[in-house]
Amino acid sequence: MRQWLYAWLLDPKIARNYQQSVDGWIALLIVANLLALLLEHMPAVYLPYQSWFHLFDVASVAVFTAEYLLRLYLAPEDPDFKNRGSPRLRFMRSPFGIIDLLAIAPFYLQAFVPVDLRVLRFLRLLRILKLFRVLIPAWQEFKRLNQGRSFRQKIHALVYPSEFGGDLHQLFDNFIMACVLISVSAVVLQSVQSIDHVMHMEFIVLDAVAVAIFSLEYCARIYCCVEQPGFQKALSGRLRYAKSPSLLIDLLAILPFFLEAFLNHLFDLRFLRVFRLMRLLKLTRYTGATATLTKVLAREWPVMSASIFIMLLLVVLTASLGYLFEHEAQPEKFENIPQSIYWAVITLASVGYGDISPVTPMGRIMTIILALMGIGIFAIPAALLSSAFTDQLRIERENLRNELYEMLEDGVLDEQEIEQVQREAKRLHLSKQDVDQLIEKAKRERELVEDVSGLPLHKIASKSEHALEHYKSLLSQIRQLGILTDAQKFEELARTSDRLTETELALWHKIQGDKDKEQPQG
Amino acid sequence: MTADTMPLLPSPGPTRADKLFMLFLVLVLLAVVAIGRIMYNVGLKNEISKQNTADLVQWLAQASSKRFDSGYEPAQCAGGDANASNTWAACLPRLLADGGPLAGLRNPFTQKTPFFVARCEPGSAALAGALVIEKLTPGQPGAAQAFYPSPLGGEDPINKKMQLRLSVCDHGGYAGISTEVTF
Repeated sequence: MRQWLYAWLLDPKIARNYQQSVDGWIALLIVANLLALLLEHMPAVYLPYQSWFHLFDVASVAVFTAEYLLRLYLAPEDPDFKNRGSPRLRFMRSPFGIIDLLAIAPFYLQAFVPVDLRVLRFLRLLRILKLFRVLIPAWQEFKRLNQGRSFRQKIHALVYPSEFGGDLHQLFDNFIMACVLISVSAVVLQSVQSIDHVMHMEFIVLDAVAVAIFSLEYCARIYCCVEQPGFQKALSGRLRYAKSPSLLIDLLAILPFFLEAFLNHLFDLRFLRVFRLMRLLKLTRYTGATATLTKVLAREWPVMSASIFIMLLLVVLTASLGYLFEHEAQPEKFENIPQSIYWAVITLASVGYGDISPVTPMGRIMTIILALMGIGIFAIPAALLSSAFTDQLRIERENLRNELYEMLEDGVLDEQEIEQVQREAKRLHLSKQDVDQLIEKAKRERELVEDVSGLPLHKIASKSEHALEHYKSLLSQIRQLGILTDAQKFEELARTSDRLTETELALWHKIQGDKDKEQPQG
Repeated sequence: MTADTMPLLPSPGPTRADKLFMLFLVLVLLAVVAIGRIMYNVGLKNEISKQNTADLVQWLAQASSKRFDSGYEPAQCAGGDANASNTWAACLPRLLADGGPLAGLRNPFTQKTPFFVARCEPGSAALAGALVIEKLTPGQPGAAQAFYPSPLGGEDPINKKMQLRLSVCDHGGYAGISTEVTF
């Protein structure tokens, strides 16, 4: 039971067990604890929800206590402690054991000893040390993967996906994503005046911290982009990379902060704050959705452009007609053709705000036609995009199946290949069942190709390997025939009807393994 | 010997370019800290301005129940028919003057006594920390709004109970969140 539990939950050496999930959820809980601790310092947030904060603390301590007890119980299975005396005691005295205890001890301590709230909060801050349980193994793996490599190559391995990044790169990506989500949430909340009123200073600090992190990330990306294929030149490579969409997004994420600080005395740059929402676009680096959209748009552009052209034509024509019929009746609403264009688009798109509507009979007839046409015309690009998306997904699945086909050349998927398949499946949002189906399909295809019996004889004969396999297959079929048929009747028929020569019959016996009948009689 | 236990190969030390890069990172961090500090200080000033409004609101709320008593001090802010000639132009400066109930208030942007304006003007940094008091006139029964705001004039009488709305202009001249009070 103990061995099974350790292997199932805590053993980092077993691939596809729950060790990474356990570590991930614990890390998430630690981050949530840290956020809760920060929020507790804001009376406007803390006081109304005091009981919820307390409940969250109790729940966190319960989880951390369960984790500590589990690790203590399973210490005799941990290779770090199992070969020494008193493994549990050794676990308790190990750095991670002490950190785990420090994370929960203050909570229990306050039940017996009156502890000042500020001291208690400081002690709770020690929970952040638990993150080292995730960070240290990742750092050690990173060091191992990057041994002998230069400083710039290590920075590259950290910020860009590569074979040298390991778990530390994954943690870096997760950290940046968390920063993006927190900073964008802060920008959204800051627009609510009542929230900004009570948390203005916190938002300022949060924004500065986010900009510091994103600025360092931006500089690191620019510095080590020369390790990327195609950008090796020190200056021109970096400049070219700086102009790439993802780096421009990174720049836009930090630029408003600096511009607002430097140009605040010249212009009112408050509007730039909205551009902080551009930080959300940083997440496009971590998803294949935008790449798929770009591919789909590029592929369907000829048809899309034709559809857009028809739409534009229709909008301008109907706006002109609307102006012609309605201008005299409603000069303030259909004042000119550009204003009529607004009406035409709103009608064609079936939005129908109703702020501008025709009153003349001709205008109304035209609106009916326009509304009916709008349903079809505006649906075309939507349908095109939707079908193109489905196609793209199908193509990418086909590609994955082809990759699987290549991978299955040796008949099995090794660890590296499984990881690659899992990565691709995640990108394509495929379930485990979908992946299993694709693997099965690829296997079947390979088996079909390997089965040469269906090929014409001259094709089989053209390859000695195929010829040999085919010969073995024929021998096996003859043996099966001998087993399945009535041997006595076969023998009688062969001898009485002279359908087989003596040599042929002897060969039959040889193949069947009848040693006493192998010699031709005569 | 497994990959985990194998001794690590030594990595080459940082080159001059690496050191320059690290120095640049430190400079970027320092720049962010410096700008962040400026913004933090501006934010603190906004917080002090908000506190000024909160102090004024608190005084107005407390005075609303007492200022109709006879012999109320400061007399310029007293209400009732006997003080029909009292106006805001006389009351507000008295509040902030030496010896007044809000004598300690300072505009954090100018370090002077806060001043009152009819409304904030976005983009006008000169109005930073200025206090805005608007009077709220009750709407007709069935009107879309219960109260209609209008700027408080210096000559407006002070002798009757009234509904007020207070706000403060921030460093960019934008109005902050407003608070309503009966005076």
